[in-house]
Amino acid sequence: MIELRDVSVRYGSTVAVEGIDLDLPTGKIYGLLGRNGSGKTSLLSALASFRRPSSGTIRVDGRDAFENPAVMRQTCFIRDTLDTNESDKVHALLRFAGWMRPSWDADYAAKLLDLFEINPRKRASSLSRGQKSAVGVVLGLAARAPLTILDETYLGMDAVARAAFYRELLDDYLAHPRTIIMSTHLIEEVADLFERVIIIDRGRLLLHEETDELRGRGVTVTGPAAAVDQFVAGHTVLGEQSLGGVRAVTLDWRPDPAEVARGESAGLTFGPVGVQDMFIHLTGATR
Amino acid sequence: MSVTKALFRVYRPIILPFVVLLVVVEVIAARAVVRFSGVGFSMWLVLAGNAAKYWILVIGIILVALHLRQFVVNGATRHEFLAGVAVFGLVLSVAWAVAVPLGHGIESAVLEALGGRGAGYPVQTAGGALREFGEQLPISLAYLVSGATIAIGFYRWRAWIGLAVMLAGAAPAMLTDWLLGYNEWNGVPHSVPYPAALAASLAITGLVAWGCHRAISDVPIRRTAG
Repeated sequence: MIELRDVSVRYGSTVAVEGIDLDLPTGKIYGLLGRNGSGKTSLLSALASFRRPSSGTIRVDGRDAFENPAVMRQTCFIRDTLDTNESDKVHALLRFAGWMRPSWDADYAAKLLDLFEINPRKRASSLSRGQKSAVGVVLGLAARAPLTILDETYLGMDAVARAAFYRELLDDYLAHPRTIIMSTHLIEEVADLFERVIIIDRGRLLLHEETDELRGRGVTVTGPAAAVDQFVAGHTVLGEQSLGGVRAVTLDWRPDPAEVARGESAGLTFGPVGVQDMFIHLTGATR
Repeated sequence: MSVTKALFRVYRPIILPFVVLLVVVEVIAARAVVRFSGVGFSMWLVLAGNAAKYWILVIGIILVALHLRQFVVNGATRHEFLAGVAVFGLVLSVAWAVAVPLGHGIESAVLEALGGRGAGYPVQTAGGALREFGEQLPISLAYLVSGATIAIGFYRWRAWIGLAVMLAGAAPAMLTDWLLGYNEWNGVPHSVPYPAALAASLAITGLVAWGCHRAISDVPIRRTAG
C-alpha cells in the first residue's frame, strides 16, 4: 500500500501540491490526470523521493519512502525528459541501469529497443525527441520496478510507437504485475489501461476512483435535438455536440433503467462517458 | 551493484588513459629536456603533482553535476551515493598520493641511470617519499571536496547563492595548497609545521565536506545541473 498523508510541496511561496491524502493499493495501473501546472510532476517527484515533501508523509508498504534504500531501489520514476548524461550512448545508459536495478531485464530492454527502432550505439544527445521518449519507456519497463512511475514519458512518441508502448505495457504488466502510475494529457488514448484514476487540480486532490466507476458516473444521450433537450433538462451537462437535427449531450448523471427505457422510446440512445469528458468537466468546473 | 563499484566501472575508461597519457607526456618531456641539459626539477611533480590536482577537482564537480542524478534516478539514495563517493574519493586520493612519490622515485632512478639529473633536481629519498605522500593525500582530498561543493552550490541553489557557495567550497583547495602545496623542486613554500598544516587542512576539508553532505542529503533531483 502506498499512503500519502497531508502531502504538500512548495517552491518558495508557490504551492504546487497541498494537503493530499491518498491510499493506493499496490498492483494496479493508475492514471494521474491534471491540467498543466496542477502539481502532477511535483506529486510524483515526492512519491519517487526525487524531492522531499514540504510537509506530510509518504509511506510505501509501511515504510517512510524518502531516502529509504529499500523503497528507492524498488521505485523507477521516468520523467518526460531523459534523466541521463546526454553524451552517453544508449547502450551505456541501459548497462548502467542494469548495474543498479536488481530486477533489470536486459533481454527485454534489447527487445524494446528493437521494437522502437533505437540504435543502441547512438548518443542520447543525437536522439530525436520521440526516440528519447522511447528510451525513457525502455528504462521504465525493463527496470521491472515494483513501483513504476511514468510522467508523460511517451509524449514525444508518434502514434505507432505509442500504440506499441501501450501494448507492451499491458503485456508486461500482466506477465509481471506491479504498481504503475502514469501521468498523461493523452487521456482518451490511455484511459483503457487505467484501473484507477486520480485527478488533481491546483495541487489538490479532486477525485480518486475506479475507472469503471468514473465512467459510470455519467452518460451520453444522443437523438433528435428536441427529445434530447427535454430529457436532459435539470441535469448537469458536461458537454454537447450538434449535427443537423441530431444532438449528443454528455451528462454528469446516471439515469436508472426506467428513465433509459423512457428515453429509448423517445428515440434516444445512451452511451458511456469518456474519462476525458469527465476530466474536462471536473477540472473546468473548478476554474 | 554498490555505488562505489559502479563509480569505478564508470571511471575506469577515464582513469587508465589519463594515467597512460601522464606517463607518456612525462617520458617525452623528460627526454626532450635531458637531450639539451640535465633536468633541474621533477617533471613528474609538475605533471602528477601540480597539474593533476585540477583533474581531481573536476572529478569532484562531475560527481555531483552528472552522477548524483544518474544514481538517484537508478534507485540509489543520496546517502548511498555520498557514501559511495566518499569511498571512491578516498581510494582515488590514496592511490594518487602513492602514485606521486612512486613516480618521482622512478623518475629519479631513471634520470640517475641516464645521467640526466641536473643541478637542483630533487632526488627522491624514503623520507621524501613519505613527505610527498603526506602532502599529496590532503591535497587530493581537499580538491575533491572543493569540486563537489562548488558543483552542489550551483545544483541546489540559484546562481548567486551558488557563487557564494563556490567561494566557500574553494577554501579547502586554496588553504591546503597554501599550507602543503609543493613545487617542482619538492619544496613547500610556506614554513608552517606539518602537523599544524595537516590539522588545518583536514579540519577545513572535513568542515566543508560536512556542509556538502548536508546540502546533498535532501537535494531535489533536477532535470539538469545548474
